[in-house]
Amino acid sequence: MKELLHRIRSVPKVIGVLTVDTRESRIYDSFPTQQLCADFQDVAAKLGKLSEALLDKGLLSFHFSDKTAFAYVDSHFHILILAETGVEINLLKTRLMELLTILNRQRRSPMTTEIDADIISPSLVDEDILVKALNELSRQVRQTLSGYIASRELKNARDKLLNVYQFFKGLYIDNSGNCAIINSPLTSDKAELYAALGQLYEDFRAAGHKVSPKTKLSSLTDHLGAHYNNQFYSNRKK
Amino acid sequence: MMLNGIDDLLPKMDSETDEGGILKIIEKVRLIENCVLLEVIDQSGQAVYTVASTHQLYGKSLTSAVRAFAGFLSDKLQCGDFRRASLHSPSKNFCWATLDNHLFTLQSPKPEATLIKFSEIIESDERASS
Repeated sequence: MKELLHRIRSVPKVIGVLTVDTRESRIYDSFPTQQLCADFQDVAAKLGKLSEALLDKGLLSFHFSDKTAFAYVDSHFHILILAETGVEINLLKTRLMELLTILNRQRRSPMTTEIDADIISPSLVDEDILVKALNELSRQVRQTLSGYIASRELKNARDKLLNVYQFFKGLYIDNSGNCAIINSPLTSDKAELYAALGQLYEDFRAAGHKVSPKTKLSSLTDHLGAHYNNQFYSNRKK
Repeated sequence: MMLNGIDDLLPKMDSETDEGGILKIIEKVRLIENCVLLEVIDQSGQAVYTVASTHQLYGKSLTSAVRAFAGFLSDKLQCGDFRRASLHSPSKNFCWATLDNHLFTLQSPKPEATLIKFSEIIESDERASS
């Protein structure tokens, strides 16, 4: 890892780089000590907040009067690169891509979905996890069909359930099919929340299959495991 | 479909109280091609301009996160004053630019190109006023 980070630091004007492996909660850094006033845990926490806001993976470039920073976030890795103004951005992006390629290759087990069932515990099955599952399904629909279809079908599925679960008014869906909770929690009734989001997931998946029967879309069980899946069906209203 | 009529413009200040001519800049920025100006907020976070659209909701939370992170970098990592930022993601591309303690949030397929256009507007405005 040190060698990988050193390759990024070797880009002229790069000050330092910090990588967070979110699955293993490990932080790797290559910073001159005097450059960071904040501790690494603090930086990692801020990157985590940024990742939550993105709902997806992304690369953010920040330009300041004195420095430039790049923040890459996805569901597995968060990376912060700090550089002097005028850094060669294309070279840096190439090195970043190299780092990500190697990090992904080094994962111990290949991921079939964005959400790894073995990290789900009962206390973690909350609306955030369910929304992540919905977003992962939406990503699959978007990749195989289109963002427009993902958005349309997810909105349709939500709207059909609105008269049963009125709190779905607080579930925002953008034009690419990404969803986010505007008013959290959607409801304080956990059982109802599981049933509602589980049903929305299933309806959306069925709609995706209807548009393209050959498309392989993950079930909720794929994400959360059969044991937790049961919770989503016991309190249904429809 | 993004609304683009005059109803979208919710000015918090009129032309007489428009210190620094920010409304004039906003009008010019709104005309940049292939992008949508979603919001302009002042230093206290108050909206000077906002698009009346549900699209703005995602942009709003994102802007809040970007502001917080930029503030963190500025303070703790001694980066200096925040100037601009851009986001590339599979589903959304945004950019942010600052001017006279105002933060502009734009949604654009090509954030860097939009930021260049933004700079050009500022420069031409400075030339016009000098």
